[in-house]
Amino acid sequence: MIVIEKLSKSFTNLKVLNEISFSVPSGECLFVLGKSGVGKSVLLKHIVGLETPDSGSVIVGNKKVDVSDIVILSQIRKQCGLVFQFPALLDSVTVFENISFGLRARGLLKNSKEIEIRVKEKLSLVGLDESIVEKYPSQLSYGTQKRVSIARTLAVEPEYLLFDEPTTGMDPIATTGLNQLIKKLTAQLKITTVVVSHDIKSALAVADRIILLENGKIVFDGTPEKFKSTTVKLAQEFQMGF
Amino acid sequence: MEASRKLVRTFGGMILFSLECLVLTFQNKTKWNQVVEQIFQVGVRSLGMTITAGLFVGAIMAIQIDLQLKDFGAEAFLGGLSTSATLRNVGPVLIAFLLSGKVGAYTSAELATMGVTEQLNAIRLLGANPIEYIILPRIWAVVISSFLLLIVGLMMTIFGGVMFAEIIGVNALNYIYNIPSIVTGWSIALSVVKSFLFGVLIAVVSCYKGYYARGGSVGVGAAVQSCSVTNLMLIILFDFLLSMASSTLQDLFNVGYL
Ligand SMILES: Nc1ncnc2c1ncn2[C@@H]1O[C@H](COP(=O)(O)OP(=O)(O)O)[C@@H](O)[C@H]1O
Ligand SMILES: [Mg+2]
Repeated sequence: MIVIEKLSKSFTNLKVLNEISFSVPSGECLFVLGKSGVGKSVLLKHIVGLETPDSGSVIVGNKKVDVSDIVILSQIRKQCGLVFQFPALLDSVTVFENISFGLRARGLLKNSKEIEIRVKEKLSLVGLDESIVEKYPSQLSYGTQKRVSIARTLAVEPEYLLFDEPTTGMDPIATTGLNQLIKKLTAQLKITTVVVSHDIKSALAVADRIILLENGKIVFDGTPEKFKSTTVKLAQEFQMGF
Repeated sequence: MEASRKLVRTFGGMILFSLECLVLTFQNKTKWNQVVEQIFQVGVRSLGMTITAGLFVGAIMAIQIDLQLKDFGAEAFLGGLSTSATLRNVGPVLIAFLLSGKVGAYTSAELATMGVTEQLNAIRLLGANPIEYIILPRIWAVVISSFLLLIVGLMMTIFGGVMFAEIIGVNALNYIYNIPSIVTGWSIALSVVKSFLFGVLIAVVSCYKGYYARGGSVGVGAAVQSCSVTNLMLIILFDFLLSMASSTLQDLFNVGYL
């Protein structure tokens, strides 16, 4: 369960988030939609303590996100996997080392055979061939880098999965594959997922619930069915766009 | 006012940053195999440049001192005087400038790019400390390779001086024999201390500026620029401070001035 309460955040003169409140029950797949620059990435970063709120709070499980409490913060980060908007792969090491990084940093798997199996398992989960493990990120296409980045987050098997525009820059086949994967993870493993995106098509296909952000506020909160029939102008524009 | 506050914040930040690195080092968190790898990445590749620069710096100093000595018919002192001036001041400063351009800019640009592309954030979320994982190996590699390169460069300045002396007709052997009669252990110690300190400066400034870069590719540009300027200014400043300190101490212990 993730609870966001009256979260506000400004950068210099720009009020990005204005007293936003919502909660994500365990096992739910929530899509947060909004135009570019509305503050979707900023919102996600608050959940893992990479941004600090001006006011309001974020609670993950039963713990309040507090960057000054390193112990709690690291526990929260252990539970949450965030896939960044851009691949954010370590470009000085190989795909294998990228995907196994969290396993080793956290000491989750000690045995190198186990690590290898885990890496290959996550690679195939995101639809990649294991032959790329020895490549460096710069040798891969953007879409492949993004999938490696998802595999890296999945490798540590977090309870909460946070995706920042996972399908942006991916081809349609990879997009469908990823949508199915998100659906499977939430359904089978009861993982709680928050996807921020402007990909309305994926949202309608995958989400249990959709939240729409505009000017720092939530302007829609409901099921995909309700989203299709809402009178909220931005929601209609989003659907006409696709 | 705003500028001085920013200055204080930068220096305060750099001192805290260095302390954090030192604490982690004492906690035995440095991965020395990565340090070695980084020394190859940044250090070994700068060797050719440093050798060339050292030779020319030595020659330039010999030209200049020779011009001044000629008028007094004192060219016999060329070896000692030009070596002393090069080792004590000009050599460390010029070679440190070059290294701040090559090693410093490389390191700050690399770290800044890692920051703005969220690689450092990714490391944080995966449960590691980027200072431990990324900064420590680089900071030690830059300290060690800058120090060693400076020492190599300074040795080359002596060769440069000798080669140039031969060209202008000062006997190379006389030039060399004159060196120990003027260059004291003190001068050598000063140049070694300067080399080490400049190595530390380049490492701390470059890692700090790169690590705290924000804001896309513009942020990377700004970080590298700020890193270059800060390196150059601090090298000059510390050269001045160390030279002052050295001459005060030499006064105190009455060990002569060259
Ligand atoms: N660290 C920061 N400093 C200043 N402004 C920022 C920072 N991070 C984000 N912003 C601004 O906040 C707004 C929302 O950003 P973001 O969350 O990245 O939007 P998006 O919804 O496209 O993900 C943008 O206008 C962006 O320029
Ligand atoms: Mg974004």
